[in-house]
Amino acid sequence: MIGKLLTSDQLKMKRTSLWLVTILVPFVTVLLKLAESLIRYDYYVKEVNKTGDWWTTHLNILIGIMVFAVPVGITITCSVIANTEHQSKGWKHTLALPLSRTGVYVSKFTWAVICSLISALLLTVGLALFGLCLGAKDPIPWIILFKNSFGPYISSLPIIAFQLWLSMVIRNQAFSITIGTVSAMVGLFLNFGDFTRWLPWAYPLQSFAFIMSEKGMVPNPDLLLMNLLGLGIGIVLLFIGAKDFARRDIY
Amino acid sequence: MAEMIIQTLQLTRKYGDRISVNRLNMQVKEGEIYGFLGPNGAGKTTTIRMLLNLIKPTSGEVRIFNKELKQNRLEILRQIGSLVESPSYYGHLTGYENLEVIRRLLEAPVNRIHQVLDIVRLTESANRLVKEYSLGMKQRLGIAAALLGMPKLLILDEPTNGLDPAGIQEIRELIKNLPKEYGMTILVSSHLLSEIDQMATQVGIIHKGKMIFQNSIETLREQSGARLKIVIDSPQYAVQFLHKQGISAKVEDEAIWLPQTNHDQAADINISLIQAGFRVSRLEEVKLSLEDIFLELTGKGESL
Repeated sequence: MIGKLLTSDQLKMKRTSLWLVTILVPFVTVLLKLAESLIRYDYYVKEVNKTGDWWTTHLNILIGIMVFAVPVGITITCSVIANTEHQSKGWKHTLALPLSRTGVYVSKFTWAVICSLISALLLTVGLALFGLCLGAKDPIPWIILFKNSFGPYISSLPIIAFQLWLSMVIRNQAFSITIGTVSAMVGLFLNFGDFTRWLPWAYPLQSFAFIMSEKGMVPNPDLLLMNLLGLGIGIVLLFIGAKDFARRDIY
Repeated sequence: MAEMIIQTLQLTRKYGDRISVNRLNMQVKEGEIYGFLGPNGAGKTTTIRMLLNLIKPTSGEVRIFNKELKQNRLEILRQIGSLVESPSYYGHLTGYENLEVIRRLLEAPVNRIHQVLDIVRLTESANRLVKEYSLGMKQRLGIAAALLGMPKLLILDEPTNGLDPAGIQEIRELIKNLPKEYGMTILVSSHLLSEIDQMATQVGIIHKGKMIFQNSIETLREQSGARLKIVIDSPQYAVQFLHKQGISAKVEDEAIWLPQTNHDQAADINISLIQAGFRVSRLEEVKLSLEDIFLELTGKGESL
């Protein structure tokens, strides 16, 4: 069931801006980081001399860019996926076909996840290239880059589930994009509260390979926990969203 | 007796206090072209959406192929092709790709796409983006998509909406041929009586959510109450003359009207009128148009 839905959805996405968004988010992220590193070139030279760790020193600001780029990228991805059906008035036709409605929903979700993972992969590669461009002496720390790129995306599974549901259920995509963008910003602040840091919007910021501490950048002890939480809550939200979508009237 | 394809039992849908579809009992038999007729907002599309399980009835039941729709949704939908209101199409894909999207979902054979493109005569435009299509082509693509799964039942909601006369003619011919060539049963809705008149074998007329007529198109025409109209000089005298002969007649619009239209009777009346010295200039059978019947059924003043 899900296989034919996935291949059908894949064809629907042809010539849409979905692929552009998937590529653009990591590309712009790396580009911004590159610009920042070039502007503050002297600072970084000094800083790297002090810490003796080229990559970790550079990752610091990157986190600041990604924490916003990841949820906003997800928001737009979900919006494009849902809007392809809204625009074509395709729901009434797709759902009059002999398909499980839950399956239709899960297929859309799967594509949002696939696109996010592609973005994460491109980001990993992009950062490695960025290091090479700036002439990092240390060997490329693939594991760290990998964790740092995939970590926030995996923890964002609840955001994917929520944004997809919003975009699917409410036709006007201005609504879901506004909510997605605003909640990306709110997520930064949620992170500071002892209680609010457990809300899904705070997970991306707590899911990088490193965190800032008094001793500078140290490996993030919560990464695995946040990833597992994200996965768990994401799947629960996916299930709730799919059930809700399946019982709705289609116009 | 032909098998019942669609049967609704007391089908009702409410939106808040407003009843959109009211205890509708629709019956569509195998091989029919069922014309589902009603003014805009009568509940046609709501009914069709319930037939496709897109919206849920407030009460009542839908049975298709003699099975309850809710419990057998996938099995029933597998044998239905549909076009609901405006056609759905992905403008950024070509006509062929649009059909391929659906073919993958239905797991139909690849050559089926060529077949349906051929049926709706879109083969030449198959590789153009659908957003460049004319409205008629989009509508034909919608029908092609509905035909893709070789359905036993085709549900078309306003398939000629927004088309020019040539396009309407084309779609109409297409629809008329489907039951003959492929053994399909078709439900086609329209707010235009003339449309249904030229395609349908059965007619259901819905008005304010209620089915006010459901029978063959011939039965509808029989209700047209044919009358004999005789145009004659001095109709008043002629009527008096006919009354004396024991024939009931009345004067309307400078002519006399008789309820019976039998050929022999008409000839006899003509002879006796002429022999009595009246000058008969015209003798004709006049039927109410279907439009008039429709207006009579739905109450005057409703637009079609």
